[in-house]
Amino acid sequence: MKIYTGTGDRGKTSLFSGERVLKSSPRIAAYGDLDELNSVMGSVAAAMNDDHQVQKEEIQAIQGRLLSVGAWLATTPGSASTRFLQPFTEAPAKQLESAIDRMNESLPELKQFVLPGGHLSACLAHMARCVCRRTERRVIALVEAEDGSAGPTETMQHILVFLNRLSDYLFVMARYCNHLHGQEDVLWNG
Amino acid sequence: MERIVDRDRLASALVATRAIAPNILEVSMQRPAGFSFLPGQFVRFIMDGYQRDYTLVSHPDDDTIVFCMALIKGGRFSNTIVKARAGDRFQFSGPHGHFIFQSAAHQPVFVATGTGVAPFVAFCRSGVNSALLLHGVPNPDQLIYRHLLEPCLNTYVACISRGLDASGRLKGAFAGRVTAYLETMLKPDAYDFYLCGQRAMIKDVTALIDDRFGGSRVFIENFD
Repeated sequence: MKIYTGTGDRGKTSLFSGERVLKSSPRIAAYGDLDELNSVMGSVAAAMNDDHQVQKEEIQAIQGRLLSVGAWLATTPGSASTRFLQPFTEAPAKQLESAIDRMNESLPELKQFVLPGGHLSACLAHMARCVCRRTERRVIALVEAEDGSAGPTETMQHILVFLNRLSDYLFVMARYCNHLHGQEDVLWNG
Repeated sequence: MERIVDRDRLASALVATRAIAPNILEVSMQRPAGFSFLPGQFVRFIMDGYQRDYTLVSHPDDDTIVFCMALIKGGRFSNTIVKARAGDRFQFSGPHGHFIFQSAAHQPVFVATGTGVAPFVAFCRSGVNSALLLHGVPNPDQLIYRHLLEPCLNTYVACISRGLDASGRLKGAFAGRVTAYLETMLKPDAYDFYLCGQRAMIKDVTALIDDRFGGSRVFIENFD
């Protein structure tokens, strides 16, 4: 499969539902940030030691969810193309909550602010958290800008909950990465 | 790109092949039990470590699945199909692809080059008829499925890029590429464009759409 099509050389791209939009549009900005988030999440997994396969696979599963979110963001409501999309329910956010609780059980109680730092995988998890928050802001902006046409209402709500929870997950994952790699939280002594 | 794993593979026996134009074969195979598809989707044939994608032109309810293929001199799949006999078995996966007919937001315009007309044959056979089809070919003898498409669709325009003399004798044909037709004959407005063909055509037509047909939707299936 060739990667380049040339159809986006002049600043526009096609949505999955067919509309031609500027690459600077709120919708493209939203799934562009989502793409960046996915890449940073891949970096988190790549930076972990090889003996943490369970965590790597968990991150990979979340990356797959992010692709699903991207497909929804690339599709306007009512398009026949939605038949190819997997329903996005509240389940992925619930799974993140379970993962957060599970990781937290292994971590010391947090009594101070922590600074992004420690093991490289922890730093990257903090970076992913920041990108996730930005993605969330972009999706909110898209929902506001499209006034109900960003996507199916319920799906968009599930996506926003998922992104909100994913930021929390990534914060805990950052601490957990330090824990897994034998490093302490970097505490803020300000 | 969709990931193909062994469990997705289906097997099918060849029913028949027939030439429908110089160097273009129509291939019919048995439809495996339980195999279903949407008009416009393709199957991926898998042979000895390589694969080829073909859009189905048959109706989803037919007993056979049918596709057309341009014969490539020295091409591995071409050679295999040409030599194949009825009953020979082939492996494929599918259906794949998202190039289906959408509920119309605007007047549909189908643009194809060569065997890229295949999904529009499938659309037509499934009852889609309110569309303009531009079929770009170098010579009139490459106008496959014209007998089916011309009476089926609102407007059928053969765009003949090289065989000018011949196109002059072909009623309703346009002498020139599909891009020339779009630039000179189609009123600027918003349409639902469906493009299937080679990359260069799709790139050129998409640029035209951005320039002349703002507010249009574009659905693309390209050949590598």
